[in-house]
Amino acid sequence: MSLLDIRNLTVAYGPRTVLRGVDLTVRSGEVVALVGESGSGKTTLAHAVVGLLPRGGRITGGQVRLDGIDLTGLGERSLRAVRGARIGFVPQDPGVALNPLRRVGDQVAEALVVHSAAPSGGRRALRERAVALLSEAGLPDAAAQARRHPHELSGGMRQRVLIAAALACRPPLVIADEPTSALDVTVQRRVLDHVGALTRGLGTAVLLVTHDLALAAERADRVLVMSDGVLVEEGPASMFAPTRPRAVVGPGPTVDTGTVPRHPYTRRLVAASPAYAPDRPERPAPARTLLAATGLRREYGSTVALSDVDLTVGIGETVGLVGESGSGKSTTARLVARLERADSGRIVLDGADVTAARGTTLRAVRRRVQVVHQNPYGALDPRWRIGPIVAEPLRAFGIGDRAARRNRVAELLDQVALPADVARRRPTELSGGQRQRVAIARALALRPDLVICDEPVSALDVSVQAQILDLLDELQRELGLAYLFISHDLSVVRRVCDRIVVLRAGRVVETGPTTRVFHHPTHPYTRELLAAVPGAAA
Amino acid sequence: MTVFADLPVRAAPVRGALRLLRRPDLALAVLVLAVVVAAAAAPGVFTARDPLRGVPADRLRPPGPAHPFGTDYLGRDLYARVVHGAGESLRATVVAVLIALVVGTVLGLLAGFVGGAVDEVLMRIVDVLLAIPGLLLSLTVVTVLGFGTAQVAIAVGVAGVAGFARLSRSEVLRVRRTGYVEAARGAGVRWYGVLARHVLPNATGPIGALAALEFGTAVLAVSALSFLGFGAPPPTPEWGALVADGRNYLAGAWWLATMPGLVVAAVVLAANRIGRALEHTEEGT
Repeated sequence: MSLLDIRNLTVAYGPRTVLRGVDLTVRSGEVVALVGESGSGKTTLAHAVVGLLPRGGRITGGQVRLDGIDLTGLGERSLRAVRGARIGFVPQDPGVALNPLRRVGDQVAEALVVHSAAPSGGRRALRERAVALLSEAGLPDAAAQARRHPHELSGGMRQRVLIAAALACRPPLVIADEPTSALDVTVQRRVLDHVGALTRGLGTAVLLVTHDLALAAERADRVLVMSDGVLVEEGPASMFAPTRPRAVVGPGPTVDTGTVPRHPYTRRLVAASPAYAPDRPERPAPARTLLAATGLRREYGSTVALSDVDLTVGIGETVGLVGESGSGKSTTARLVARLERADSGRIVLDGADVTAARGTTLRAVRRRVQVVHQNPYGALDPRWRIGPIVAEPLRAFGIGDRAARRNRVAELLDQVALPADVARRRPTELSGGQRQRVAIARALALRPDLVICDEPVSALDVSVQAQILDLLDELQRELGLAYLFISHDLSVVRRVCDRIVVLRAGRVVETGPTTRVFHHPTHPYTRELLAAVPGAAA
Repeated sequence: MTVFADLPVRAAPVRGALRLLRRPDLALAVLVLAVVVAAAAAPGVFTARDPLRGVPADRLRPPGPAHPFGTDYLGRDLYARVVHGAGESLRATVVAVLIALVVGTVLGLLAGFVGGAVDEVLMRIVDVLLAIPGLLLSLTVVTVLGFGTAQVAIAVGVAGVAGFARLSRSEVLRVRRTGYVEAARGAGVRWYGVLARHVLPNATGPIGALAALEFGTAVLAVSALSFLGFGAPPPTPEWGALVADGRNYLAGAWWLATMPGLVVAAVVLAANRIGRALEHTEEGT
């Protein structure tokens, strides 16, 4: 018999229906992944199961049966007895899901106490049990860490605390909503490996909610794909696995997995996922060096953010700068873009030393080097219309009169495949992908030679990601642009970069052509990073 | 490539004052302020009586049909005096708020945008100003400047500078960190262009809300100073001075102090309500 049995579940927020007749079952001990893009309703489904829909949301039809009991008919009091005890919930963001004022050990102990699952033997026994749970969740030196407050722990450690709390009462089912999306890939891999082993050992069923199809295929037994409030496809994980083994040089053989995704949405998702994309074809070496940075160093107070970083970008070339959070990739971008000054080192642009450029020289650098920022939601002034936003660099350099600038804006919007009437709208009226196109149009306004893209697609859904990456590719071919492409996502980098530079803790650990680095990494850290990419093991 | 897949479905945000007026308490607050401003601009529309001419036969009449607010010890109509006092009181208040707003915002902008030593020095001065109770500070300043409506306005304005400086500095620091400010710098916009076109417009919302709140405080402070006798010399009608005049007759003629006092209270409450509403719309957007 299935443990969780969802039948024809319909959920609405006010007049808007967000889940339309969803059927889903999870058997005991099974790992089921629910995959979808933002707005697909996957998180709503997870919340509906545990009766934690946000204000305004309500179940308008269907059943959620856990062990045969319909949860939709239960009151808050009975649901409280289910949550934690029968269904463990691991929330999305480990940064905000813990009470900052309480020690993490107490927060795990709380889960035991509220469900009367505390061991006999008073406070001492409770403390020991909490420490045991934390240590079981993979928190190193749990006895000491249990006395700490959330802010003293890293993101990965906080996520382990949340996992310990979710598993504290040994629930038969754990629902994990994007449990590792906020974590670096290597941390994500360690956490998921550990949780996988742990839940297998305990026989716990897992409903894993994620946007990452490759991750789902790698971690789950069964994968369900959701789009626009409807389940569109369901199948064994192998059906969704990347078909081309990555460890093989060249175009690898296609592994026959028996079945392939059939639904057009799933196919689009697979086509858009960078993990499933082919390698970037090799291109001839650039004619000459456009930008050369040597010995870059930057300190913030006593912490060294960057030391001795060398970097070159050739004309028309895409160089990827990869690393995990805190590796110094954004700092490097800001130094190279001259938004911040390096403490030491040299930056040479097309033969001219621009390390200490100021005033007119610096503005000349700005004309040739432009930046596309990470967050398309913050990069556009909310009070401005799109037209003036795109024209801002032109105005700053006094290029053209009003009419000429308007024409150029229309041309730029066309170049980034936005309809012309977007010029009259405001940023809040645009989607994330459209905003990023606007940011790209603005960066292109001055016809720069080098565009620094700082995580340009990390805030976007995979299908939108793919569109933006295609656009960047097209623009490069048309305009001969060089990109310095900063990303934490190795799959994305592999798809768009000619050469990559791997950063770790402010130092370059490896650099080389993309295919060489991906297929024959020399540094152990690069190997660890590559192994951690979801789907890499497939 | 599906270009329009990421087209939005959201309508333009509905904004504006009209929506605010649907709240009855807010509508009342706006009405109160509108009436007071109208009285200040054209007192003749609200009363035909001369606020300065007393009718000795009508001394100390309680509020009634002939004299809605009653009459004072010289037989002058109190309602006419309150209406004609609105101009004097509001002028002082508006000047005070403007001084606080302009000086405070400029100091805050400088501190937040330039940073470093400038920030340190300016903010320590602001800390000192904040450490002294507002009314005490106003009293000190007005004692140095001498008596009169203009002096009262300056004194009250000085006391309000610190709050605006604090707020505008924090707003500037917030806006400075945003992506679009960095994008503008990266696009080659000069620093004063960034300040004028991005930082200032995006920092004004909360500052406007504070100005409305400050208006209420300033009405009260101006009245307090003129109650203490620092304001316009008699017989000019002014709200604080009217309350002060009535104080001596409190036992026999309660309306003399109460009526102008209620008007001041109504204006303060109305200003606070509007200030709070502005704050909320700012958070909402």
